[in-house]
Amino acid sequence: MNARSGRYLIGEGFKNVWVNRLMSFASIGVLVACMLIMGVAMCLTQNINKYLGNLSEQDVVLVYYSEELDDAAAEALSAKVGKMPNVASVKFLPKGPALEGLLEGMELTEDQRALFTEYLEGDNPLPNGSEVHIKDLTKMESTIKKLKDVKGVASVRYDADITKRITDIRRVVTVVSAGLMILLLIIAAVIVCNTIRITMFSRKLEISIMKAVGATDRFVRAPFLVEGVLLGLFAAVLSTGLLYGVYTVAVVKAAEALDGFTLVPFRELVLPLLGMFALIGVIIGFLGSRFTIAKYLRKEGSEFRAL
Amino acid sequence: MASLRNDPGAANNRTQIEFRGVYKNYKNGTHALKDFNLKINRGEFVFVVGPSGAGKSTFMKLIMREEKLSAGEITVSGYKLSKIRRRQIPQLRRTMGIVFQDFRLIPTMTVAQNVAFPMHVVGASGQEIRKRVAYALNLVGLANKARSMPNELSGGEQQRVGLARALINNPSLIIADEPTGNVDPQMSYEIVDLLTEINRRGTTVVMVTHEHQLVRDFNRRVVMIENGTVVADNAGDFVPPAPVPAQEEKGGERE
Repeated sequence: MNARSGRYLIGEGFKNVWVNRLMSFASIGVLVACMLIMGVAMCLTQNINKYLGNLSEQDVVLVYYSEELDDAAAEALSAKVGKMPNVASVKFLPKGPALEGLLEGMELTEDQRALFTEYLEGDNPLPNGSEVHIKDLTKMESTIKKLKDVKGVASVRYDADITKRITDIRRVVTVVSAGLMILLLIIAAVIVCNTIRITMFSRKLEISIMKAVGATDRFVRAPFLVEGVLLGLFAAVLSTGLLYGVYTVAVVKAAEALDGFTLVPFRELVLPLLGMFALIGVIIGFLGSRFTIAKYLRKEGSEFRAL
Repeated sequence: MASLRNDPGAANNRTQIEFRGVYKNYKNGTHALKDFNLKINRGEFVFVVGPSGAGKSTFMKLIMREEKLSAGEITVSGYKLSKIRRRQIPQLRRTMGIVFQDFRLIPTMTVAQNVAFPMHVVGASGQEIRKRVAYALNLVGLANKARSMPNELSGGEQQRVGLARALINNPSLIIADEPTGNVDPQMSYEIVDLLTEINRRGTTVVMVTHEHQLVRDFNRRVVMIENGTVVADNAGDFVPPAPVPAQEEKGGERE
């Protein structure tokens, strides 16, 4: 097969998409339907993850330092904690402002406040502490343990329950959406293979003539592969477009329904979506064509009529 | 590959097709050919006749290598078919043009595209293709139908397109399987006239038919097959005319 044949065959592939437009339309339709469901699943996963991410932002671990450390030593230790693995960020909470905040919060009268100050005699019963954000919540337990082991850390406080719940939800969402996608992928592959099989069945005459005039297997196969890949790409672009429309409506509705929570903007999703769709489309189109035509390539002349 | 061929370029090799002690048994138990012997030289025009079920179709399929022979040896255009490899089959088929009873034109392609199709298979250039298609359509008298679709043509015209397609790559052999079977009688004579003209330019023509009147009217070598073997062959009675040098063929010379 030379460059001229290559050009001819690619051209034939494009032409075939149009010539067999009813079958092309059916294949694209099936692919788009599957891709849309997959896309919706992916958008949902992304948004649930973002939402859970927001929740875990609020999930703070409080680390309190030993009273033996003075303010400067505690602040230095806080900086050290910030560099530990799986620690996203740290904010030092000096005990002075903490007491101020506490007194403010108690809404005392002038007299009561004076009484307190006199009683404390310049002593501050509160410890120095840090607000710590954890990167990976699934490794929460081990990170807490490490924090507790740091010399100079007196105690660590966190809400174990909510952390666990967020981790569990994330895991379920990931597993369910991955399972759903694999299932849809299989369904799409089966349906597309069938569609291509019907296309080939209607073109068995063409294949038999190709073979009769001395076409090699590769030559017979090429336009079908080009056609399969093209259908996959068309479906990918169409699905992304449709999903954009659906998503835009969803963003508006979500803004009304979910107080304060904004969906992930579509431009952040468009590249991974298009990439995923194109990959799925091309792979299914290519393999589907290849597998189905293999059967026809083994046939000879009059056997085609018997198919 | 060279070892599998009989060196077709050799001057003394005049054999186009040779069947030597060929047997063909189908899986269903049919013995289609039994000790079948036949030799067809380059430049010959041969009618193959016989009742249905005699083995004519098997004979044709074996030449095209649509079927494998069970025993014996077949040589076609220098290829030994008992030893031919799967990937050599396309090469073998490019040495011949095939005309089918049911035309087998691709309905979604124009007449010109159908005729050009075998040239794309061998990777010819656009310029070569245009030149050669014009020549072939001219030869079969359909130059004005180049842009028509097959379903717009009569049976006879469709078969002439099939003929143009068969000779487009300038093959040394044309095999025609009942080419007049789906064509009205007057058109049948035109088709055979065309085949005769193609033969006159040096191409070997093997035509399977059951139209005895046609065979009688064209005084050519006739091979009769019955029960899977040759029962009559007037090869000795007929001396084919010397082929005229083909001038116009130059444009279509392959590889």
